[in-house]
Amino acid sequence: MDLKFINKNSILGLIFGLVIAAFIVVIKFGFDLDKSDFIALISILVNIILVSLIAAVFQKRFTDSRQAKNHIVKEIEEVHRDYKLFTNRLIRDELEHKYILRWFKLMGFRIKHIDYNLKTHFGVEYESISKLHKDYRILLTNSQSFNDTFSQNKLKIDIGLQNTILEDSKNFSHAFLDLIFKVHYC
Amino acid sequence: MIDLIIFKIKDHTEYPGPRYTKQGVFSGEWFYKKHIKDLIDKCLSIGKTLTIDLDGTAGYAASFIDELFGNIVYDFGLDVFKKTIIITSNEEPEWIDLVNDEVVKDWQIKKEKGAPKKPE
Repeated sequence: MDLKFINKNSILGLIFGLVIAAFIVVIKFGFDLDKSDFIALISILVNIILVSLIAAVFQKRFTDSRQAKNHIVKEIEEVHRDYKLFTNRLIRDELEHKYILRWFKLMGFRIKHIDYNLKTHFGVEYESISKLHKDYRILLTNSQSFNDTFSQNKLKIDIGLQNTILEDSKNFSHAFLDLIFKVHYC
Repeated sequence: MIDLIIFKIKDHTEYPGPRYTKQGVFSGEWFYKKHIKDLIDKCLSIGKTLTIDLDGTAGYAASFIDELFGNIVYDFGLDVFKKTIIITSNEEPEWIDLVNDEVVKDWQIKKEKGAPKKPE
């Protein structure tokens, strides 16, 4: 049974219907029912109402939480995808220095936005991505390659720096996946 | 002390440059020599602070930040740096942390060792 369609109105309708049904039963058999039958009838009604309420409330909360998690996970995956794309283009010497500076700033904003939402809505504090982002920015923009080629059209990074960046990209992948698992299981 | 001068990087360029002047325009070295050094002298002579605002640009290279603020520590000393310079950034406060946690210490050590400001 798909409970996602249960809402406040359907619950009220169900309760109202049950009360009317009980009323009809009482009217029709009321004078023939003994005390234990009344208790059993009331017990059944109360159980049905409780089960309906619990199902509706918990299902709604679960569904809301799942949707929120899926949304934040999607954002994390998009940021991860952008990192990989950026690094691939960087390694192929396709990026301009000004683009790189702007990219790091904007990506920093996106990471802060995710950190804030994780902390506020899910109680998850995870600083690894922020730290890796900061380290990545310093590693690249403090490098000899970056500064010496600043006046050229595209950044050309030396092999040593390329290898370091590729090595660090593994840490990024681990951190992003780790964060996604944390969100799913929080 | 009350602020006398607020220096905004964005008033001079949207795209701050590399570390040294020889590497490109609007470098950290250029900003220091062209603007900041004289402003600090002025602030010291009249007992005021200098606020350097980092917001509003496209973003910074770590080398730019290092060269700009490191030179202040090297030339004027840590005490003057702490008493005279205020760095502000609502957009990227992590640069302030970088300066206070790493740049200041590194350049103070460089100064104490008598190492040159720039590699020969």
